[in-house]
Amino acid sequence: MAKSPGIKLKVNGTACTITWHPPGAPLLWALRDELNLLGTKFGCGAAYCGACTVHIDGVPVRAFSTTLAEAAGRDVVTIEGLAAKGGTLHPLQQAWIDHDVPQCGYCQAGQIMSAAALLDATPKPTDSQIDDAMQGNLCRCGTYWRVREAIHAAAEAMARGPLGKG
Amino acid sequence: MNAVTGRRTFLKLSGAGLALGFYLAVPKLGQAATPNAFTPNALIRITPDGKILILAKTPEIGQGIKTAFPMIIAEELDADWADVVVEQAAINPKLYGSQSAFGSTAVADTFDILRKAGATARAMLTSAAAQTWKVPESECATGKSAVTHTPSGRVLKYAALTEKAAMLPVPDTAPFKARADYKILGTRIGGVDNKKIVTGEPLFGIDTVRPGMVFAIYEKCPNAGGKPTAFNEAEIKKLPGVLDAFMVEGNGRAIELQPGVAIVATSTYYAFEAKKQLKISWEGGATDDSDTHRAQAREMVKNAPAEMLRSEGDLDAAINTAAKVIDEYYEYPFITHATLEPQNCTAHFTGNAIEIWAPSQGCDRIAAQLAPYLGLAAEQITVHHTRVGGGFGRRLNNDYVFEVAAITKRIGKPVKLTWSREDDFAHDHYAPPATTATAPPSTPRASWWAGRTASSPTPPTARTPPRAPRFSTRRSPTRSSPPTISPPNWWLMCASARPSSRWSPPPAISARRAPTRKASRCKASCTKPPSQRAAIMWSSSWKFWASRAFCTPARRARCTRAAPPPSSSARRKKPAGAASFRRAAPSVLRSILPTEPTSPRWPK
Repeated sequence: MAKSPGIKLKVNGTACTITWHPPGAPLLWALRDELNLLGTKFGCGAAYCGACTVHIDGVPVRAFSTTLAEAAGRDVVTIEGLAAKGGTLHPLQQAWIDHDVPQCGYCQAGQIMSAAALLDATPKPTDSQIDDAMQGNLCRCGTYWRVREAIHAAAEAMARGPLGKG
Repeated sequence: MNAVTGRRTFLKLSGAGLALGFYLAVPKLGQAATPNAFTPNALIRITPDGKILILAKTPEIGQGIKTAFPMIIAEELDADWADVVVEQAAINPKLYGSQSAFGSTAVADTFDILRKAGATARAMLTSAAAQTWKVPESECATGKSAVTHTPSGRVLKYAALTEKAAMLPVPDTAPFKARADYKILGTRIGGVDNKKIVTGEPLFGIDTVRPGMVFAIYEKCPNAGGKPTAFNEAEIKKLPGVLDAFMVEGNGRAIELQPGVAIVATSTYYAFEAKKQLKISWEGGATDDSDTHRAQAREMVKNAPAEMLRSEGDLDAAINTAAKVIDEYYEYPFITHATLEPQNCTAHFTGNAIEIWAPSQGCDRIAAQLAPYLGLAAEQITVHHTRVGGGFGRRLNNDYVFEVAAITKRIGKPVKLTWSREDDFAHDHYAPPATTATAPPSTPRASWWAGRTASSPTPPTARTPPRAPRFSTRRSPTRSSPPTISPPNWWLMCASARPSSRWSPPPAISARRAPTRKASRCKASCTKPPSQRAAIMWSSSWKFWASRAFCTPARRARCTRAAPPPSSSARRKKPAGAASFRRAAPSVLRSILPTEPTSPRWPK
C-alpha cells in the first residue's frame, strides 16, 4: 500500500494522522476512504456542486479542492461533527428535519455545512444573503426553497438560545 | 376499485409475533412486470414489544417512497406512526413483486395493494380482540395501534394481540377506512431517513464499505461501442496505490457492459490519479455526433417520411379542419440525467456467489441480468439496495453493476467502483433527442396534438426490436380530466448508437415536448432574448442539471423584474411559494424552447 509520511490534522475534535494518502491528495478521499467519515459526499470533483463542503478552522471549503497539505495541522469539521458531543442536533440539522428538506438527500450534508458557516458569520441572514452564501451548493432535486426556510428557522432557534426562550 | 381480485392468501407464523404474508396481485409497473401475476408480499410485522415494522419494498431515489408506502400501510392498519419502524426490504422479486422505481406511478399503482395489506391486518387484529372479549366485531373500533371495545371502553394494544391474530385465517376481503378517517395520509410526515441524512450517516451506494475493500475506476471508449486493444499496463501498475489494471471485454449489450479498462487501487484517490495516466488504443465505436443527428432529424420532419415507425390519425385532414393552426418547430438535444451521486456500485465475488450493494432504480432485475454473464444461478446473486442519490431514469440501467461485477470477478475481492463526474456525463445513457414539428391544441382542452417527430429511441437489439418511443395516455387515477394531449401522428426514427434511457417522468419524450404552454409562460415572464433563454437552459450540462441555473430565487427575480405585471389569474398561478416553485421548475426543465423564434418555425 502506498504510504504517506503521516499528515496530522484534527477532525471533529479528534487528532488524526493520515497515512494512506499523500499531501497532494484531496482531503475528501482521506475523510471518506481512510477515516471512514462518509457523510461528506463526492459529487463533481471540481468544486461545482458543494456536496463535499466541510469547515476548516470554521471556514466552509470544498474537501475535494483542498489538499491534505493545506488541511494539515488545522481543525476540520465534517457533517458528523456538527451535532453537539451529547448528540444534540445542531439547530440547522433539527430545522432540516422539521422542514423535511431532503429529497434524495445526497447534497444535504454540503448544504448544511455551508449554512452553518453562514449562520456563524450572519446570525440572522436575509433571503438574498442566504442565496448568496448557498450559491455554490447544488441540489439536483430542487430543495432550495426548503433549504432557505430551514435556515431561517434555525436562525430563529439559535436567536432564542439553547433553552428555547426568547 | 378497491378489491384486489383473484388473490390467494396465506398465513405465515413466526416466533417474533404476527407476520402477515400476502399473495397479492401485483399490477404491472411498466416493463418490470413480474412473469407470475400472483406474487407474495410480506410487508408488515407487529412484534409484542409494540413495534410495527413496515418494509419499504421499492428503491428510495429521492421520491419519498420509503416513507410514502409505509404511510399507506400504516393508515389502513390504523397504526400510530410513532410505533412504526421502516426498513428497506431485501431484494427478492419473488416475494415482493416489482422492486423497481420509475415512471412516477409507484404510489398510484401500488396504493390498493398496500391498503389491502394494512386493512387485512387490521381486520385480523380486530377479530382477535373481539374473540378475547367475546364481543361482536362490530362493537370494536381501531385507532392508535389499538382495538377499542366501544360499549365498554376496553382497549387492547396491537402488541397484545399478535399471538392471537397470528392464529386467524387471513380474510379474503377487508373494509378500507373512509377517507374522512385518515390520520396519516394527507399529513406531512418527514422522510424516515432524514435524521441519518442530516447527521451524515452512511446511506447511499457510494457509502458502502466492506472489509478488505479495494477501489476501482472503469474507463470506456468515448465513441459508443468502441473497445480497447491495448493500454500502458506496465506503467499503470507501477503507479502508487495501484493494485491491478486490466482490460475487460463487453458482453455485447451497450446498456449492460461496454468494453473498457479497469484500474484497482487502495483508495479512490489512487484509482482516479492512475486513470489520468491511462493511454488506451481504442478500436471501433460509433462516430455520430449531436450535430449530424440534429441535421438528419430536421430533414426528417421537414420532408415526407421514408420510414415511419408509427402513424396515427389523418394529420392533413386535422390541420385543414382545425379552427386555428399554430405551426411550431421544436427540438431538444441528448439530455444527461446528472444524478448528484455519481454512478457507483460495490460487489464481492467469491467464486460461487456474488454480493452486490447497488444504488439502482432497478435492483430487482440485477440477478437475472447478471447471472448469464457471471455463469451463476440467479439464487447465487445477492443484491442489497442502498439509498440512491437521484435516479431520474438513469439508474434503471445497471451498467455500473456489470462493470463492478466484471472487476470483482477478476480479482475476487470486495470492490467499490466509482465513476468520476466526467465519466457520468460522457457515458450517461442519455434521454434520446427529438425534433418535432407540430400543431398544438387550439384550445386548452383540445384532445389532439398533431405533429411529426424524429427521435432516437433505445437502439434496437435482439431482445428489443425497433419500435417507436411509447406514449402512454394513462394518467393517475386521481385525475379525472381526460388527457389533453394525444400521441403525435408520426414517429420517425433517427438512429443513434448511444445507449439511451428514460428521463423522468414518463412518457419521457412526449412529456417533455408537451408542456409548451408552460414554456410560453416562462418566455412571457422572461425579458432575456430567446437566444439567451435557450443558452440559459441548454448551454451546458452543468447549468442544465443544476436547475438552479435558471431557477434560483435570484435568477428568477432577475427574469421577472422587468416583465409586465402579471394578470390576476397569472398571479394566482405563480405565488412565490415553495409548492409553486417545486411544481413549476421540473415542468420548465422539461419543456422545449423553440429554436427559431419567428413563425413559421419549420427548419430552413
